[in-house]
Amino acid sequence: MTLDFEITPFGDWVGIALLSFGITVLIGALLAAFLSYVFCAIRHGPIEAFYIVGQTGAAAIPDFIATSPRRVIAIARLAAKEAMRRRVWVSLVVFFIVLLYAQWFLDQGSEHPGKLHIAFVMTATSYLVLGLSLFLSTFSLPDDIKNRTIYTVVTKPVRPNEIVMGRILGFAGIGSLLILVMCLASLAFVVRGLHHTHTLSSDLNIILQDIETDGFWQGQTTFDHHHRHSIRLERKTIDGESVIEGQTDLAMGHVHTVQVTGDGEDARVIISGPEDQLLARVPMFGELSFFARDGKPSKEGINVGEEWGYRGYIEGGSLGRFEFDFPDVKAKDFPDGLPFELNISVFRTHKGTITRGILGTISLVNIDPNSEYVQSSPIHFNATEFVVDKKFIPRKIGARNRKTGEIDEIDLFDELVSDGKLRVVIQCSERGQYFGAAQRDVYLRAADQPFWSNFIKGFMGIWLQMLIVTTLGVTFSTLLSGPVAMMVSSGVIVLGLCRGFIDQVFGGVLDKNNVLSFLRGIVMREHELEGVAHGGGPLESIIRIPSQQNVMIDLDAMPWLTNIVQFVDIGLMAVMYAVANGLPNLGRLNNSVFVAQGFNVDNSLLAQQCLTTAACCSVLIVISYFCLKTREIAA
Amino acid sequence: MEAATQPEVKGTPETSEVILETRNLSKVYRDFWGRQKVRALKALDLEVRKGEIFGLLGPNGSGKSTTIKLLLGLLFPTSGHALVFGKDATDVSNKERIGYLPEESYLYRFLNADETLDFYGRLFDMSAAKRKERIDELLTMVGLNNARRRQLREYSKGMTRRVGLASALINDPDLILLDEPTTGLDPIGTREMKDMILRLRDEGKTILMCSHLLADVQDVCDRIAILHQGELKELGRVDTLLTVQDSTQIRADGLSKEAEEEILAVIEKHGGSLLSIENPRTTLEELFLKIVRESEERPGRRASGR
Ligand SMILES: Nc1ncnc2c1ncn2[C@@H]1O[C@H](COP(=O)(O)OP(=O)(O)OP(=O)(O)O)[C@@H](O)[C@H]1O
Ligand SMILES: [Mg+2]
Repeated sequence: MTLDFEITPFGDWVGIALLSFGITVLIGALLAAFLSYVFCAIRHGPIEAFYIVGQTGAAAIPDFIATSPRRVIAIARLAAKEAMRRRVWVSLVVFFIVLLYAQWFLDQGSEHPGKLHIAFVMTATSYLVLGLSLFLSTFSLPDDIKNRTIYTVVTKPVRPNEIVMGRILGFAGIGSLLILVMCLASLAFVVRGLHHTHTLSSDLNIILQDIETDGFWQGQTTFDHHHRHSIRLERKTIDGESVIEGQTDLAMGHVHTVQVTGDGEDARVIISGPEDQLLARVPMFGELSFFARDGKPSKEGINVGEEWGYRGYIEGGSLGRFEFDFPDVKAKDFPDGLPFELNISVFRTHKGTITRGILGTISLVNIDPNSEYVQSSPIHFNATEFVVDKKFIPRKIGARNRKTGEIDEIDLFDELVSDGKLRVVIQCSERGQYFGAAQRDVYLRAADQPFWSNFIKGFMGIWLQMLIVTTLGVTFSTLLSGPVAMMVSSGVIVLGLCRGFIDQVFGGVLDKNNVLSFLRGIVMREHELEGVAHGGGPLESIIRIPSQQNVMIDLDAMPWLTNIVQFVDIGLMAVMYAVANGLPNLGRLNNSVFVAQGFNVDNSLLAQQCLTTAACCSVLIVISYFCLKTREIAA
Repeated sequence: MEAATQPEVKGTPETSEVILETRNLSKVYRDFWGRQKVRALKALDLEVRKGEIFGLLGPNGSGKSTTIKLLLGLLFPTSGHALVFGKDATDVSNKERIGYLPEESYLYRFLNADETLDFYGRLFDMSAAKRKERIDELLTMVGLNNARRRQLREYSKGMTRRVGLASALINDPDLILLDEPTTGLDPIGTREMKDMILRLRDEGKTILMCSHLLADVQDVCDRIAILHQGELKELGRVDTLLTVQDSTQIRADGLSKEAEEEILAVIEKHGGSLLSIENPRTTLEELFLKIVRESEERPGRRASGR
């Protein structure tokens, strides 16, 4: 329920990213120059080729400098008109129809209707918009060339980059408009689709009577929208006024607030809409280190031999502990205290009371061992599985004074936080049970962001994907005919989405080859955890599938055939690897996980995504400039 | 109107600036695999000077449109060079000064006349005020003022042709390339087109046109080139080419048959009142047919520019 990858702060990221981008571009440019030289030399001879390549390359600079916004906008407007003529608004109609009937096929009894709704609208939007952008961008230029309408454009002082940029701008404009409309409609759909209230299952008079006599009423709401809540109403005093109030338990990811207003005959029950469901929590993470049962640091905790290697475990009733170092805890962000959310997982060696959860403690520790108060008294909590445990630690807590040995009530910001740094130690109190955690399982929840703004940030991800898809489509369409460009770009996009898998297969293929196995290390550098895939590359798979061979054993074929197959596979996989890794990771631009799980989309992440997209699009624009410039339009 | 029938012979363009130049220009169309399909143009040498109306003639498929496309950078030469305003044909800066009317109307059918011209005006980076002024002027000139808000898909052939012409002139070009400008135009339109070409020439513009309407070419062009199967067969001034060099025509009046012979002798002796002595003029049509026929009989003969 937490996020399983880390976000590097933008400042740390940008330097390295720009450097590796620069290196990639440089290598790519040199390679492209060399290849075009070779190609030219074959046709025009080595000396002439030198001039041709040099001149074409040099001409790009004035062409890009002379880019006229007016021309780009003129072409963009034409592209947008063309898109309207292709009836792109039909996609909106489809979208609205899908939304209208969505309630029929969305699982009504889902435990997490919020996530389901959000994931649904975002998936629908991205499929529609990306498919449409691909279609528009790949067919436009080839059609223009086929109809020869482009003759009237390229015989005007229009630079190839303007033709490309104008198209991208026009289609991206249409795409943005569609995304905007879909985003707003989706927001309304999610909020309204999830909205409901209940009524109380007992008569109000009985409830009031119960409260008179016992001081509280405990009961249930009615069964609406596939669920019911239990509720306890009490008389409270808020702002000097006595009210009857209570909050329901959590069901289907939300709660309701119930209030009884008025007295006697005028008494009314007010039940709020669902709360705590559509959130944009802003988590603040700490740096996690593990300590083994003897209290010594350990690299990754105990491996309890299960799950995925993502969490590390500590043993209960020992010195084993998690330490989370929070770098920047400020009183102004948390004026009342520290709202922790814990997603500790539990590994039970004996069952105990399964519904009760496992006891643990949280202590706040000052990283300065010479301070007056070294650590707070342990605060107990109950680790329940599969639900985020909330633990609010108030500002005033007890801590033992190092000098006097007394337990005093202190302000944690004054006594335990030094320079914004705070260490949070979590231990498991029950012998024989284990706690598991990863870095992102424990966080401080700063003030929430409004849900709608997070929802829009989620759609920003789709918008960025749309920009890349459009640019990619236009780039391929400068070289290829419409249908071919469409197929190639969809192929490239799929490769980009399956990047991890391709790396694994390439790693597996290289594993088989002793000569090239050193390459494996380079290919697998980011995917070490995931290992290599067995069963070989595409050609080998074509043999294995019909002959039903187990992927774990070596290919059973004539040795010469095996050699050829594996050799060809290395080539094929190298191409796929290059293509997949040459594109920005489109999957990483998908922010729907954050939105669906109720986390604020980190601004640092969004900035990284924007910059990556901009870099990718600029490179593609340059590539398509050269493709179009060197293309013989009328041939 | 008179101008169309009596082309005004301008002073010697040989002295003015060279606007268009092709040197040994050849074009071979190849297929995807690089195999040769057609040799559309073979070693063409041409020079067009400022203020000229130059006509490219030739049967269908003789390489006229290919030449124009090479001059526009729409095609790249297989060998040789095409220079426009002294620069390579693919140079973008040339395009500021060129107007091009393609052989068919390749226009965006979903725009109306106004939008079309506005679009091309923007491509020349013209300001809004200038575009508006120019569009009004051109639409009036081509006679489409009443239809300017209708989509081009509703236009008749001649009407689209007129929009095409207007869009070719939107930038007030110095060099105008017209590929069969009169196709699809009604007789009035054709006449207006010819008048316009002459008027543009008088404004100092240079015009290269190809056409199959030989009478029209004869009317307007200063110089012509005749292509056949991608080869240059004839090149020269229209008035020179149409003069039959090896025959003489003498006109006098009020003479009997015997007197004619006598007078011829007398002319030599006395220098009598001879009214006219000249070579007869042929029509462009005859010249064209003769050249094409000769060329088909003896392929490969190069005409020497006269
Ligand atoms: N894109 C092309 N691909 C292959 N061959 C072509 C192409 N365009 C023209 N050709 C060929 O080149 C030759 C010259 O064509 P071109 O269009 O220049 O003729 P043209 O003189 O303009 O004829 P017309 O009077 O019919 O317009 C023809 O044989 C034609 O088939
Ligand atoms: Mg032609």
